[in-house]
Amino acid sequence: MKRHFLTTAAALLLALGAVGCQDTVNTVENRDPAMTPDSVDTRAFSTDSFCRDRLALISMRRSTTPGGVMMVQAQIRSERYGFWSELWSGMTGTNPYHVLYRFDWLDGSGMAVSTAANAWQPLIFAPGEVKFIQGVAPNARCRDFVLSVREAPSAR
Amino acid sequence: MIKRLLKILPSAVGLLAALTASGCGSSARYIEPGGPEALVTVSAVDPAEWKRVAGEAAQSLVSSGALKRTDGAPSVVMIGRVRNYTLIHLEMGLLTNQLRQAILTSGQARVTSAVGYSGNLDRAVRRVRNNENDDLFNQATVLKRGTVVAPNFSLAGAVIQQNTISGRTEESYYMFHLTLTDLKTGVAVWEKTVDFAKQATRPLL
Repeated sequence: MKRHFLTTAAALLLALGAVGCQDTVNTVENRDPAMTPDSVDTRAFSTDSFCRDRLALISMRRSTTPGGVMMVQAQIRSERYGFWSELWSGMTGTNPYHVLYRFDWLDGSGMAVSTAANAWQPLIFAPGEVKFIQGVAPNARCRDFVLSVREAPSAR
Repeated sequence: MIKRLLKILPSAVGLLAALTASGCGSSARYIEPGGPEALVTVSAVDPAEWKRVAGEAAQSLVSSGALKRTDGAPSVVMIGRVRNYTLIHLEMGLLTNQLRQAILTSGQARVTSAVGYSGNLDRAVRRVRNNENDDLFNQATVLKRGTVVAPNFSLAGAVIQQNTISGRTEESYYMFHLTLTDLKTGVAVWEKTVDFAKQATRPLL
């Protein structure tokens, strides 16, 4: 009985230690934003339920740059915070969370436009961290985009 | 019988180990350049990083509007020297070729091959005009001087590296800095820094 108690206590202590060692990100922002963003109505197609549950798309906005090309910005938050998420990522050594993202651009006819920027780009999230990823169209003829996000091999 | 078995045991174990080791390799296969399967090293700039630097710089340049001229005519950019201040050899064509392509795709400017640094200079532009007194050529077909368009802008930059070692952990920091200079005024009209750091820890044994 005593042995069981000791084992459970040790396991609990280890779990608390693993969770307690993690640094999460805390954010604060103004309650009434003055900005008037042009939001993009998005449609997502998720194949990786782990990645979908670990990242939350908070907003997707668009604007036109001084160069006359479309720029989009995705605001993404890491949802890997809380006791169980932090325990699991601590045990598997996947904190911070590494992902890769890529923007593909389509012209008015729906044809993909090749660009130096449509390679997979790395992004690192601490638990609870909010990041803004921006993509700039390669030319003014681009009308639409596809944002792809996947877990980096080290995050699995 | 046992003695005999003991005699051939080391050879059998060796053969098995060799077979296992040879089975651990993999045959050549295609991977996506700079994709998730690409190697990441501390001591070099890997394909993913070249793509990242070129992508971020191209996006920044195209979005800035620095290439646009007030008279509406397309600008002409010469690709200058990207200085290598690192301890390793870097093939700058991996960066400048992607930037050339991005500038052309943007439609905001054209890139000249008449002047430039290293692989960005095509000597044929000058060489074909050296045939103006060569009776081998039909002189009506020889390109005349005074037709080459001079550049308005120069794109140049530098790469800086800093290595740090602490115990078994090694870290490399790379900083790419690119500048677009208006050749008429000599003033830099666009600048972009792209940096990244990589870390690895050597095994204990």
